Amino acid sequence: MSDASVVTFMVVSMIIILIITVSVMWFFYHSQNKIIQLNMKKQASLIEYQKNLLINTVKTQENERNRIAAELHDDVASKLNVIHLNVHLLKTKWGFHPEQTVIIDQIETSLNESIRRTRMISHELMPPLLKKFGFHYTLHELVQSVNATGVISVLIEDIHHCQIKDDHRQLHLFRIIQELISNTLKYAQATKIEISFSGSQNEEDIVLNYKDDGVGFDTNEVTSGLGFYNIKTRTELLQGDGRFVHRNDGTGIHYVLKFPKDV
Amino acid sequence: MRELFELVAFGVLGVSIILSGLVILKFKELNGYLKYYGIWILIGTFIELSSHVLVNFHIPNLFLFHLNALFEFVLLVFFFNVLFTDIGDKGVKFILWPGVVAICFNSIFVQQPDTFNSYSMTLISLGTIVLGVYYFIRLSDIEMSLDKKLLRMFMVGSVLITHSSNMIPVLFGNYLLTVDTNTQMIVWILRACIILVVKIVIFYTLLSYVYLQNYNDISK
Repeated sequence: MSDASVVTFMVVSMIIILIITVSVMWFFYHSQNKIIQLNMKKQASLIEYQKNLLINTVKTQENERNRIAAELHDDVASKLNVIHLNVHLLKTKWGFHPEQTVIIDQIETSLNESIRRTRMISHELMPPLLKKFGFHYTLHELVQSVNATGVISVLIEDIHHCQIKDDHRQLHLFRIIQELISNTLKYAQATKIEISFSGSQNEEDIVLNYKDDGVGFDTNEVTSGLGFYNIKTRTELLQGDGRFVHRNDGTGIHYVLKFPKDV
Repeated sequence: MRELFELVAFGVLGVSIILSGLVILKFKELNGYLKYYGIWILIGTFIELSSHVLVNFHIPNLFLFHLNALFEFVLLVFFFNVLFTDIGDKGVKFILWPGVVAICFNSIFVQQPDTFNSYSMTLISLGTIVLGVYYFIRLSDIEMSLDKKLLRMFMVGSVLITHSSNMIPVLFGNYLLTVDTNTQMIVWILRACIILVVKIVIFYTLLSYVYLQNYNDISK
């Protein structure tokens, strides 16, 4: 064999070995990419499954609330009304001893209170106004009832920016605000709540700003608790992005929720 | 031909020096197997630079390849040992002493320092190819993030390509020295071109990974 042939053989061998090595690497990279893509698909379907599970859980919860509210309103409250009426008739039509009248009065007062509480619980479980009169009216009603306590003043601004057609989405947003107000009332020692709405620049999103002037809390530590879990779940169902914003003045909380008008 | 070879060889040396600079700068941040990889680059650059200097002064430089074989073997054993133990496999340290003895034996009794140590170098290249390919097979079965796998793939792949392009020239190294200079230059130029490309890829990979924010997570 001549020198040239040997060198040619060497060059060809080197190129072949190089091609084999690069092929091994390429095959490895390709197979890994495939595995990763498969895993990503699996993860995506798992997330989708969890999301559906969440949606169904909330739906079931709402249905159950609806059922309990209806039972309380239509059955328990109605029966209490009938009892109340009968007690009233008993008191007015029959003459009683003064001591007996006092007891009947006490029964009547308790019945009135029970009817009021039953209605209140029923309305809290499923705001009937939301279905009848829509989100704006129901929110105003909620605000009025909170303001009526005289402990705190709630202010709503630019509610016209909040136009949601879907009933379920309206309910989710209502529940989020209800939860925020409930937290403020329970923990914040606040005197003022400001709820304002605005549209995003592209007019496709709605932005809710919720502020109170209470004692505030460390926004980084807000991860646990049923209330915040509910807010988080419903924010996900709204396909929105909600977070607590640090307030420069160091007082109260500021919660911002951005979500699409319609999905 | 010779001018072309010198040009490419100069390019390889230049990239090696830049690469070594990066390794020295970031040496403290190199974790696990990357530390041995860094030392492998530094020693390779030092041997390359020294052999260039010795050639310029017309001093025989073949003894450097004997030293290089020993250092390279030890470093590659540690490099693969960390890589294999990282994925829960048995390490490869058991080949350290037999290999060192074989390389020393070859340099002392078979191919002495004034000749090219083709046997040792071929053995190292062959061993590296076997370990590299086996590592790829094992790595493909292991659950690890793609980032981590890619960094390992580039690092092991660069060692694999370097040694697979080395194997044929070193196997026929002593024969090549007897062939007409212009003809043998074809082999050396091809080898130098491959090394140049590999070193540029290593430089780019190391640079991009070392400056990544999650580098510490993916290099472990």
